[in-house]
Amino acid sequence: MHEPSKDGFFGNYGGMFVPDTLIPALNDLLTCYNTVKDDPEFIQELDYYLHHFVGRPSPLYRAKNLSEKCNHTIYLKREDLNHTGAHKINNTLGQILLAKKMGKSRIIAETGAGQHGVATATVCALMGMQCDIYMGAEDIERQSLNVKRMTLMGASIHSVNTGSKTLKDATTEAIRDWMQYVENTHYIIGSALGPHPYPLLVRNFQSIIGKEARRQILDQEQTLPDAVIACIGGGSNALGIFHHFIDDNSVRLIGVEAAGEGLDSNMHAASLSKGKPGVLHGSLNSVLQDENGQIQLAHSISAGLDYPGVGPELCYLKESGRLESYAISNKDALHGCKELAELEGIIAALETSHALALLADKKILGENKMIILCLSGRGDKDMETISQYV
Amino acid sequence: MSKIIAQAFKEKALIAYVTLGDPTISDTITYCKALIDSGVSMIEIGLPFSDPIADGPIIQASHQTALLSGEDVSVRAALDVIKILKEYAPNVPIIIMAATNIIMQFGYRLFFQEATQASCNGILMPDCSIEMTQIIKYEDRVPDVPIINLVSPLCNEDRLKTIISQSEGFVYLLSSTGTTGERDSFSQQLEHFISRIKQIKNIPVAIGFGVSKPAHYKSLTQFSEGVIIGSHFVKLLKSKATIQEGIAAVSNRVKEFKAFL
Repeated sequence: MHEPSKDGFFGNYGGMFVPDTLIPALNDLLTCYNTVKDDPEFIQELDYYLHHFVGRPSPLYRAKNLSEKCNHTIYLKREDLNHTGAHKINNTLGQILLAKKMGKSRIIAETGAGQHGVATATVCALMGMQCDIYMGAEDIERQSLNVKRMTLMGASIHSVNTGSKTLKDATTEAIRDWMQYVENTHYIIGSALGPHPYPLLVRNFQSIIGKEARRQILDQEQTLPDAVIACIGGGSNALGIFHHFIDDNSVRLIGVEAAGEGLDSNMHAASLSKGKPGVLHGSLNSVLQDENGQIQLAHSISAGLDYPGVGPELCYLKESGRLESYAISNKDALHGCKELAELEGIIAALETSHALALLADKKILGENKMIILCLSGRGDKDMETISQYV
Repeated sequence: MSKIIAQAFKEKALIAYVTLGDPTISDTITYCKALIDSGVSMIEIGLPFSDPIADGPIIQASHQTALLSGEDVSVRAALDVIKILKEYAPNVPIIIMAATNIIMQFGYRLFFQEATQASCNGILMPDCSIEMTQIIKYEDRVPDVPIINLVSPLCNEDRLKTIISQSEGFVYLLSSTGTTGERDSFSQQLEHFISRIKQIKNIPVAIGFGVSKPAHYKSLTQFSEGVIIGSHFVKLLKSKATIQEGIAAVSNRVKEFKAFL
């Protein structure tokens, strides 16, 4: 159930579109994962770190003031309270334990907002592994705090100056590095993207979010929510919180993409809404591209959503009608961020703020609904950007 | 089938990679004609892509130049170039290298139809593993435009059997892990690896990624049918003050390679 085909397809999306060099490593990764995923020792080790190092379970917090303001009952799944300040560490912990099992000595990762880079640098420090992070030059500029955090934890940051100098290009560079050093290096992809089995692995490591949230809401409200909302860049926090609700047909699954300067502006990152099926970074997914198949530059005020593709499983869920997706502009996201800060004393990441901004939309959400929103990360990293506008 | 390709491998083949539209389409045509005149066995025309994952910095930069040139570097433009070159030299095989997405957006069926009309001799999609070629329906393919498969020396026996038994034309063997780009050393196991290929099927094997010296050409073709030279020629082409000088430099270099055998 909800598992990809042998070759990694979720419906029409997914697959392993990589040069032959990488196939053995991808097959090894899947074999290793299948071996350890039900191994009590592996589960125990992962649980230990998730609990004692990350601080899980994260709270499901009833946001009283925000609820009143929006005329809904709103619960925030507080992934921002995880160690390192976002959901990203759920995945990096799982993957570094896999890398250890596979005997790899070096870790590489791409990062956009820097949260995945920080989460990777963190687990590398924890496990004593060499860590190289690829980051677009523009993102290095706008996320300087995270760059300093990664450096402090011993990671080497590689500035990527090609293309849009953001997440897309950082990912391309990381794959190229992996091509070269695949024999000793594990590539920790940060979102539910890339060639099979990454979309599966990342989703499963992140699904702890929804697993906890479902139990927590049943504890607190004795009923399932009407809707679960998450922002979507590549889709890791969204799939993480959605996964355990997919079979609950009464629960709406709502993803929020970045509309940037507007969906008609060519300055957005709404791959689900505006993309076409295409191959980018190892999988067939919904890609922003021109008529010749050249990948277009995405744009969003939040570096973590600034990506022209989206995870294959989300493409499948959208196509099958299970997932609804909407897009929120830069301006509305900033407003969502400000409102949560004032009402609840929580500064959310700009990525998350896109999901928050949707709460004001009565046409989409109706009224008096019970809603869980994945508060995927904290906004400290975005303070410079936010203070320019607010 | 693929008689033209088979012919190209009668002697130790020297295959030159050319980026379409770097710096212009008209230069690409002039350059390819010069390569043919200087004796290359086959030309691989690379369609520029915004996010090439199998290419090193030199070819990536070449793709960027072509994409920023303002020239039409689409599939159709590549096929038009091939038509012109085929009039010039009908017996020199010309294949296309393109990211899967570029062919997918053009349409697989349409691609194979138009490639046949242009007398294109094969298509290489470096990011399309053998497992993924299944998305191209068999009824859409044509025998005269075989899908050329890449194989890496890390490939295990089972997958090697699958790849080689489905291969037509020739097999593009990666010299080692890594992306395209010049290098000094090659995997020690290449010779043994090629004997494994030949046990599965008697198909020509050309070695690519990193070939940059006449000595490489000589040593690698002791046990293979040819080499593919990409970054080395791209770099040389761009190293001169004018494109004409660049073309002359590469032509001379091709002759040096040929003379060294």
